[in-house]
Amino acid sequence: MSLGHQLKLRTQWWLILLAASVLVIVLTADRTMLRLDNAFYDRLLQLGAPAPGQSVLMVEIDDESIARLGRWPWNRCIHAALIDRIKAGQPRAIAYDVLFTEPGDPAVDALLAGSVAAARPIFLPMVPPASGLSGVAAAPLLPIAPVRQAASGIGYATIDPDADGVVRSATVAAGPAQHLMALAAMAATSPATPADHLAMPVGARLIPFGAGGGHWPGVSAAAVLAGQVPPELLRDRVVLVGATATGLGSRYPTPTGSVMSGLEIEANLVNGLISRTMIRPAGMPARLGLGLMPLWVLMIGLGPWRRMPAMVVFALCAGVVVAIAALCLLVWRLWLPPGAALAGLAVAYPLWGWRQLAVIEQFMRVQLLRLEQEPSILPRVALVGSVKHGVAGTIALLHAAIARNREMQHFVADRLDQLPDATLVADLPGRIVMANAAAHRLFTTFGHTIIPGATQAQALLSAVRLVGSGNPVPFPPEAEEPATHEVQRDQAHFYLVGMAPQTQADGQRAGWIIRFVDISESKAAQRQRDDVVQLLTHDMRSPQASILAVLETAPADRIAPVEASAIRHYAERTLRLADGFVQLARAEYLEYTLEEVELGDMLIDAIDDLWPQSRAKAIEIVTHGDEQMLVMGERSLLTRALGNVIGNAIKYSPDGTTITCTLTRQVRADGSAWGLCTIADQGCGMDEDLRARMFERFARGPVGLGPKTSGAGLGLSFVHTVMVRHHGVISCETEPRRGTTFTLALPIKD
Amino acid sequence: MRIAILEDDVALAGLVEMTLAEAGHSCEVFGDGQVLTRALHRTTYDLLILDWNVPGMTGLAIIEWTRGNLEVPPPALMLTSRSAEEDIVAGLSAGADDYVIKPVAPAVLKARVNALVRRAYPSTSPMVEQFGPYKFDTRADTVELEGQPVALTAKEFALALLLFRNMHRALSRAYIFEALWGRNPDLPTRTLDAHISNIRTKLNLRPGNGFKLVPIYAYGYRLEALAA
Repeated sequence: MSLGHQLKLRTQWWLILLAASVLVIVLTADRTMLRLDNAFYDRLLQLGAPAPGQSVLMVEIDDESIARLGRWPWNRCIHAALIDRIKAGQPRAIAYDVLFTEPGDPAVDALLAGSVAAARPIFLPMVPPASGLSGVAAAPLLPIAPVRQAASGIGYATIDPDADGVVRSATVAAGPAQHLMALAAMAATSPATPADHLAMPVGARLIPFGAGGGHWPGVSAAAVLAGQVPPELLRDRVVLVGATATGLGSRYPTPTGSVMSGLEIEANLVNGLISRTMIRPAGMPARLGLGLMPLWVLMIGLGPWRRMPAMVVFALCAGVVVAIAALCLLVWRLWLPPGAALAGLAVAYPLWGWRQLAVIEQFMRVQLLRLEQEPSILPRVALVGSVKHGVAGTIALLHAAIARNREMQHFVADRLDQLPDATLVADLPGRIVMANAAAHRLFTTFGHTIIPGATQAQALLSAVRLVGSGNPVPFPPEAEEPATHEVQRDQAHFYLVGMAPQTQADGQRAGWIIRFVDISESKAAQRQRDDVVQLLTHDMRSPQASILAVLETAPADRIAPVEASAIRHYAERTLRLADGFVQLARAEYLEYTLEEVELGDMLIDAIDDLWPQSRAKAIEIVTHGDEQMLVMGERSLLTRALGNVIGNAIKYSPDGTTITCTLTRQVRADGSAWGLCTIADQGCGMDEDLRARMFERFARGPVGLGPKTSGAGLGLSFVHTVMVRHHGVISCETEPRRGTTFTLALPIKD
Repeated sequence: MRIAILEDDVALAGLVEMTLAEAGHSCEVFGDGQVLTRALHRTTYDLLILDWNVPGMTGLAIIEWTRGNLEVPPPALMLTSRSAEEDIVAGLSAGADDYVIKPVAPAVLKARVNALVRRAYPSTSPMVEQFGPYKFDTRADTVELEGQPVALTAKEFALALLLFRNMHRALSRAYIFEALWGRNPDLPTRTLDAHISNIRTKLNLRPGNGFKLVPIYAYGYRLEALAA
């Protein structure tokens, strides 16, 4: 993807991270997610252990009690009797949740006060100060003085449901007033426990309702009064007394899912306080932490540097949030609402996905449009519909691109198939990716069947052997560069195997392209030529050499000198002819190894080679020009070419004349530098007819003009061939009976 | 010197034997390569003159065989009708010390054989060495032509002396390079050609003066003294 799109994606990532973070902070602070959090809280509580109920007993003023003891409110004598009865059971503490706020008959009140005093520790409720409708704070409503003074303590016992009507927490009143249950719980535990641990903890005020929704065990007040309750049931327990009869006490929904009386809720509260399982709501920093951390992990996990599937990251983050919330609540009694965190994840995940899609779509569109504009060797594929309209346009472009790609594949496959030479495309381990028709034909003649997709490059290449060494063609090739090998199937079938590395668009090595070119014919021709040259060099020269040896060793009286001379002459001429042929063949077919050579050096080599001939005719060869001129050439051939020209000059010049060789540098109009070697003789010259065909094979010197000579007629053909193959030029000026001037020009190496 | 001649052509073998006998060598002629290798097991020759194509074993194979089987392989001279430069190079690279192309000129053969023998079995060099009109003083590094001193650089002097001491013998470029510049010199190949060109000019090593410097295709150089 382009840098611009990368940048765009990064910017959007940061924006989404920021926006989601702000959303999480807001949701954490303003409690929009309360409903979700509460539902989650309630379900989690039910997963926990059921509340242990051994420490608390409810004495319910229930419908049965009303039925047996008369209408509510009861005479305070009954209350006094009930307190006495309970006290007789030796409970740890009593919380008597009945208001005695109005003074009644003083004798009865005194009786009650006496019972209360006897039942200590006993705690009585009051009505806490609350803001009335008028907004003026009312005074707290306390029990009447005698009773108040008799009791161990006075506490409030109000119940505050949450906004959804469910009671989850104990009320914490402002001021020094204590909760009635906190007082009871404090009295119930051993004095060894520091008191502050048991006072209603302001932080941990969520009531640990046990799982199961089971109701608290209780006994009817009437049964207690009637003495029907065994004292063991009361002993060492905190006894809560309160009204649950129809119409007396309110009933509230609780997180357990069931509706409970106020007394039951209080029993849960006191149990939580005693067993120290009260739940503390987490503070703001922890809640923000839980809200933001998963969001950031998710965004990093999904970011431009992504390593994992998006869905997995998302599920992981959400799962961890839920797990942390559950663990905190059930193990550490800490309530961390997960709602904001889940909301943050739920918003960021699709948002980021959507933005990514949008950027990718845009990128793809730009790329496809660019591709559409690119020149193609294939006919353009017509676009279906307009490219202007958003996604539909992109789809149209993609359509065209895919169609083009398909066309291109066809095109490439077709062209490869139609290539005249057998061509294989192999991947790095040697799997045949493509093979054209010629390759199938070729390997069928070898007895191999090409199976596209099979790893058989090595097997196919083993059908031929390298010429010379007889080794198989190495695959994969050691060198990284394209390489060509000469291989043979048998004595008559030769091939050039070219291997070129095949690379992907990014330069990565992808495999090899292997091409077989049939060179059997040219090989056959070459061998024929080699045979002829071999015949000439060895088989024809050898007998001539033997003839000369015989003449050399034969005693003078056995062979007449004149005949001997004639035989020697013919033998030598045959040798020269053979040499001429060999040299011409070399000049024509040798693979030249070019080196830097100096024109003057070669000229002197040539002149020195011909010294016997020139001396024999007393011909002087003079050279002019001593400037160094380096040419790229095949030294032996160039020297021989110069020698052939000078040799001709000697051959066709009268005795005692001079041959002048001049070396000059010439710079042509196009700036190229040339080395010129001019060889001028004072010989017999040539006529027009001979001049026209002097470079032909077997063109011989003038019959009528000069002396009878013994050339093979191959010399100038050789010169011509060598000059042409050196990109040189040979020219000739001649005048019968005045002389000939040859000029050999070769490009100078700078 | 004992010289073994491998040549299946009787006339040529006779010429070679006659020429070398004139020069005071004792020769033995073999017509078959296998026979020659058997003889080499039994006896020692100071020099081998080998034809390329002979029955039994080619000349090149014999050279290879001597390198692998004899403690001190004798120098070998190829005698061949193959005149193409490539063949000559192939022979020299295969280990032949020199070559002579048929038809054989007796003077050339004699000179080449003597050069090989001289190199293989050298006598101690005197301080002053005389080669025809050239007088080399190895102590002073000076050379005189007909009594006239010729100014040469140190390398040119060494090259000239090397060529004269190996008269009639093909010297490979690598051999000359190593003798003059030591192992693995990082020099352009033209350097040697330029030096050769210089001493040819300064010492007038031209046929007119009785000497000829012959470049050997893809191999090196040989200094030849022309028969007067």
